[in-house]
Amino acid sequence: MAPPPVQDTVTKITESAAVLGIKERASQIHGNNEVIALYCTEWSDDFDPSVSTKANRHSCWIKTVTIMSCNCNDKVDKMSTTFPIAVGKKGTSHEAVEMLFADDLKILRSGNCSMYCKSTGSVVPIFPRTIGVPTGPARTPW
Amino acid sequence: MIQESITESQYNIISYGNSVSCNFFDYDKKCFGGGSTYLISRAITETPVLVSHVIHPQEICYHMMIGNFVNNLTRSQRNDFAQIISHTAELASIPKCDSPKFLQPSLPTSALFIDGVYMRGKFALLPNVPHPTVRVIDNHGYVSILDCVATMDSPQLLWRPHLYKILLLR
Repeated sequence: MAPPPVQDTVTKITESAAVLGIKERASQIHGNNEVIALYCTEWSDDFDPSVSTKANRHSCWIKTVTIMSCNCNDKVDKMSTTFPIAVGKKGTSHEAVEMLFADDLKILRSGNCSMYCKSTGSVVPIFPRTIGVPTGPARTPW
Repeated sequence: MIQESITESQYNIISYGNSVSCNFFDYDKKCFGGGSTYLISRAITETPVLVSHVIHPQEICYHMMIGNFVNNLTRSQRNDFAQIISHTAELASIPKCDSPKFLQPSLPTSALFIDGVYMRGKFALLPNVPHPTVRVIDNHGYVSILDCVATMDSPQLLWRPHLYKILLLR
């Protein structure tokens, strides 16, 4: 299979080989049928809530996932598509939530999922894939 | 006048230190509230001359409150605020009619309205916006990515602060 064409100069994530590959694969599987190709990036790190009633207690750990449509332009506010997935105490084991997240991700990637699309007003199959890996010590176990 | 002359003769008046403060208090001395009028007039007309007769006292108060409020907002929040004010002006200009097609526009003019309509209660807006379910897994607040994808098309910005709050409380 020929790899998707990649532009010489990549200035947006939607022009990257990874995202173009997701779009290409989605169109190969679903043909001319409507499909929502999504790319997800996950991130996790520790933080300290310094300006809240929870300040000066314990540091926290957070995991977030940014879910973007492959057709979206980069001007979409990333904060509006970034979801908090899990919050816990820093230093404790996060394995249980990481494993659950991995299971949820497996279901999502199974190809049997669809979602209501507001723009078309219908239920459309989705084709989600994760790109990139989290940096730092809070690396996921798979 | 007697009090003023005693003060000026017996005490050294502390210098304001800069022309901005001097100008403000000069106008404020001339008439009560003149400082604020001078500031608003200067900002709106972009002239250093006081044109108080064209600005209504209520507008002076209004702009001072807004100035104080936007001082604590981020750039993006200031954009949102300007849009809200613009929509408010549009809504307020809709002529009242007896047509049963639309409810009369309701504007959030009290803290009670904001609390009841947007924030809390069975019928409030925020608690009823589609949002992912928060579960507790091994002392962690957890939201399924499946729920996140399913509710992607909901106005997430509304529920996200609530979700963070719930997650942190867990």
